[in-house]
Amino acid sequence: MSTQAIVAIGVFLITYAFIVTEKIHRTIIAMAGGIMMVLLGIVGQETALHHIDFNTLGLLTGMMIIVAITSETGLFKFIAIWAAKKVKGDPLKILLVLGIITALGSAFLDNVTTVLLMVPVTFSITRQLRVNPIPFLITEIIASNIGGTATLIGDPPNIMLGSAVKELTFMAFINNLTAISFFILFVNIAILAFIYRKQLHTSEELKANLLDLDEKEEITDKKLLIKSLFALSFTIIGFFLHQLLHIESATVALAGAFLLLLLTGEKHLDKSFSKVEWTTIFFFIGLFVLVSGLIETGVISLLADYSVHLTGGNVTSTSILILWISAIASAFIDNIPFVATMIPMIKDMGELGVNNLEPLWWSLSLGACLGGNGTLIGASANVIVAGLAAKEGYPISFGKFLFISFPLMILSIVICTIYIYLRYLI
Amino acid sequence: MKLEYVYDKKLLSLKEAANENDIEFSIKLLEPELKNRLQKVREYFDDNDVLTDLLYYIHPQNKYQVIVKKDFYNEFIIQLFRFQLIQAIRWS
Repeated sequence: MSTQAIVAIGVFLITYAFIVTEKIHRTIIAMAGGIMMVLLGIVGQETALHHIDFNTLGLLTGMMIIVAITSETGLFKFIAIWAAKKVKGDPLKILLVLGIITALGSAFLDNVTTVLLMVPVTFSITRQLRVNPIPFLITEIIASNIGGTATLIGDPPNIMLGSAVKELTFMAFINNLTAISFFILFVNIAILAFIYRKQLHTSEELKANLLDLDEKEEITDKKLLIKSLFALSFTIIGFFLHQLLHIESATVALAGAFLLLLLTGEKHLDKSFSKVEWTTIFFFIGLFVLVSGLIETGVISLLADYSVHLTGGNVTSTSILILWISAIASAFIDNIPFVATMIPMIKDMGELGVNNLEPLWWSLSLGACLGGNGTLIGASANVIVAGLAAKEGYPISFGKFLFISFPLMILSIVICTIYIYLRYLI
Repeated sequence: MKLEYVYDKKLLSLKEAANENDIEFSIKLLEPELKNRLQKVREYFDDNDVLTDLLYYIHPQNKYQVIVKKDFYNEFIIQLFRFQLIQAIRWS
């Protein structure tokens, strides 16, 4: 191993350690690590830029702009109240519908954005019914991570996978992950409903109060809503057709975002741009450059070589290993850097003779996305909801969440193991 | 010290009731154009980073239920005054 490779590993491990400890913001650390790779001459600036995946960045930015404008219309509050009324204000059924809405939202929007939209309306509904909001918040966290698994645009690991591997199109994700994700969602929500059933009771008077709400009044700007729904539909149809049209998913998302800005005018420009999570965008940039150091110095190839040696190049054992390692790792560390490291490694495995990479990619996606449900620090959505809940006087402790979520995550991965084995490996 | 307020009964009716850590307001707007002013009060609280300081429920026929955390009671009354939904406030 060359000196440069050893230095690259050192920079990578130190950066990773800082990301895990969360003492300093992950974006600062990832960017510092990426810059160190360039400053130490491990990768040149041009090479580093070449490794930044602008498809991932464009997709995230475009969707964030669309959501920022759409959220101003009151649409999400309307949907939640409408759904709560449809189930006659029954808290147990509201738990189910809010879980499903969160999962559907997360399948098409960023998980953090979805929970940020769902949490306020959850507090609003649970306060109206005078029920404990914690079961609803925990259900939404779990539903959000499962829903995000279902599509190419649902969760950053999937965005990265779709961007890195040409065959993993939007439709490929729909065909391979959507059904299993929603099966896992229904299993998880059914178990959560069973666990919390005794806490979810309210009076008929409070239910009647909820049923009297006028959800249509929550729509604050009907013209903006029509324009937003048009742009959102255009974007989602674009995702379904992007392979057919030979355009990247980022082009679809950015086209949708700027079509919406074209329709709504300048007044939404500054506000929507200010709501783009630039810290997340730069976190990705830092990670891409950081991992490029490992790729360019041959470290990733060595790791792939070692993994293939370990499993004998057997697709079944490699897939199952990737699924479980991704899940356990993602329960404790950020799944984005993990997936950023795993993608080039799996690609190298292909060059080392593993002839069917498809089950490996789906194992990585399912493990990395669903693993986030394992602990309270497993995914950004978990941390955000727990932070909001604590601030509002409803703390969700690490232990309390772990007690519920870790067994559910293990169950989800067991289901995935069976799915991967039956669908791809026999 | 508590805030006392005065409002025009021709424009709206306003009832409040204490409930554990909250104060629940039942508001009925008799003039529909006041809706925008009440919406501005809501937006003021929506813009801060506390989610449950003010919970706002819209019922048919210009009726509103607003649940305000006790810590935000004075701020809510001040915002009602700011957007001219109440006419006067004073410490009692």
